[in-house]
Amino acid sequence: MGCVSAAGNDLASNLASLREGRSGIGPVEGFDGRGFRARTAGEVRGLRLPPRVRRWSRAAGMLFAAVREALDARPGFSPDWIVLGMTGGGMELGEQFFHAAAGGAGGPGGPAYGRAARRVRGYLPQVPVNDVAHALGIRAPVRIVSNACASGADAIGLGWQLVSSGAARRVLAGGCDGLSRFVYGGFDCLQALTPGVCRPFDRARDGLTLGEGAAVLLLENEGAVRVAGYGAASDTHHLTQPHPDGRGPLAAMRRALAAAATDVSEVGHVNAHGTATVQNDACEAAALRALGVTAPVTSTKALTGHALGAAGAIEAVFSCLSILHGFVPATLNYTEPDEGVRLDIVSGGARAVSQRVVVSNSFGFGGANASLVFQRA
Amino acid sequence: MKPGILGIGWEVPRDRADPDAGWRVATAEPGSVPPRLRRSGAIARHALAAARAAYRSAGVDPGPGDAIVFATTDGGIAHSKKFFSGLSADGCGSPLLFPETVYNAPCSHVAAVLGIGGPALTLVTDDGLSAVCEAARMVAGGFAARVLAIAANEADPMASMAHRHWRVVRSGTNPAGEGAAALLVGTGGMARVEKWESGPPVRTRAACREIFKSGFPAGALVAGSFSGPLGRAARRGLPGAAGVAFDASGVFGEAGAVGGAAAAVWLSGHLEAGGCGVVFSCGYAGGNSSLCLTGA
Repeated sequence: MGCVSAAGNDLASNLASLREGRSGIGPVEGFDGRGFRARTAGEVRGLRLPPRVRRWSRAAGMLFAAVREALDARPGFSPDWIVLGMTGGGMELGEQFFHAAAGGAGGPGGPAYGRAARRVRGYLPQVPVNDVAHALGIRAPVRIVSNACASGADAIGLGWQLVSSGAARRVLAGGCDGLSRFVYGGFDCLQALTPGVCRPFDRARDGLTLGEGAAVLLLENEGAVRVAGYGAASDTHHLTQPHPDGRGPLAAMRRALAAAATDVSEVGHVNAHGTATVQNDACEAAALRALGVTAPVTSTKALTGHALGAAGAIEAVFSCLSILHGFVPATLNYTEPDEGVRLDIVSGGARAVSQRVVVSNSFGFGGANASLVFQRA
Repeated sequence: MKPGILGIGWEVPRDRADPDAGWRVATAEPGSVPPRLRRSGAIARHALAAARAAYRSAGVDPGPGDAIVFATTDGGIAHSKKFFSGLSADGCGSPLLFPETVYNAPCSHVAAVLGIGGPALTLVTDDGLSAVCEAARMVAGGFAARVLAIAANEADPMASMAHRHWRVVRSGTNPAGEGAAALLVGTGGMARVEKWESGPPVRTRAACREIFKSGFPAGALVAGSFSGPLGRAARRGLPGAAGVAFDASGVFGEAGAVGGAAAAVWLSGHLEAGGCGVVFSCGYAGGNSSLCLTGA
């Protein structure tokens, strides 16, 4: 595994943050955030990258670091496939091109245009992935899954399908996304961002905090923890709002548990999507209750921020770490239970548990729902 | 179990008056657009039209358990541009536009309008044939009984500016284009999918000339999509390249992911019983796939 998030630039520092409840959320520094309601984000800081990688997009740089960490820990792993979730690609390069082509800095004849036009290719999600693969000497077909905030989980699910069906022996799967003004402005105008503190499942929750990062898993038919099942479903409801009864998340979790040939009573804990918006957390709680979940539930988004296309992959890594190290991370800033949630939300510090099965949920715009089941081998 | 093509459909550009503005799909009549799509971009309307045509061609209704694999290159690029213009000018973007800029918005619209509640996967790719390959893999692996594979893209002048810079689009020869192509994949149907394959992305023209070097069986009907300098090099590398019976760019222009899926649509509709055909796709970022079909 490899992981870069606001909570840490590698696996060890992410694990420490999970155990200690150390959040990486702070004031926005990566772009001009003036004029927005919200002012905070989970930004990745201090990542050490080779000079040529620093010229790539933010997402590509974080992906490079995560893939390099994973491959360093598993020398000789040569994937048959690369499957990655991403929602924004190199969005900041797209912003520069939009700006120059629309007349900024002299318009298409101006000096900024040529530079922006040369770099805008990195805006396409497949280009940074191809660049990272090439730089690390990986030759494999690539699939870029862009299912909004479920992208990373769907990518890992696709990787699991490839390995479990025998279509591939080894798959590099995960997700990455970098923050940009475009995306931040989009969530801000929807009033989905909290102007205050990210409080998943808390009664006073009032919105999410965006984040960024990259995480990858090297999938094969061995290892201490395995992906045991994957399920996906569509809400067929609203473009941005989840169906209030949680039918999509419920269908995704049921399919994932069935694929894993396990039962909800076996689940040690659920790493919830838990964005801290009023609607998401209520809908997810309804789905978890309908499924009969009595296990502890946590959301790690108050540590990392919501890393969009990377979120499902980061939380997949967190799920594996929690199985390997026998604990459930705490939901930061959860102080006041919500009568509408009625779940065992882990708070006030990580909880030590011995567990064999963990469910990780990721839901996104467009009614995209994905659930992954991880199991100790 | 071998996957099969149950139905096909596409939405083809008809407005070719101004090649520099791109080959555009004629605007749908007011009233024919479902309420859900009233704020959506052209890409969602193209995708829905092609999807409906594929189900019609298969003679079946969309099923709540069907899955969707949707491929696009640029997504809702026109809405992205409008949203960013607003954000730059006023410091505040439109909450109505932003959701439509998300890559999976068109797929979500198709799923909602047709009532498809199974997995819906959006792939961002320059190789639209990969959506058909994914659909075939899901059916063959038992992960879905029926999968709707769609590829869609919309033309936009600003995207064309970028594409001209990369020599994907060249004035007068290969204009920007838009449209959609859809195939309903299950078991049985009009053609059987014998083999599918996606290769590692290629980065140079020399490498592109090698990717399809194994060619195709004698007598096979060949269709393809070859986009940008890399795609054109891949086509030149095909043994018997002159025998390509259908090149998607001649119908769609440079419409990103649409080309590869459109080539599969064309081939599925032109195979005689027992006849063999091959589809090749190479996009301008080097994504590449091939698919082998037998007529039923």
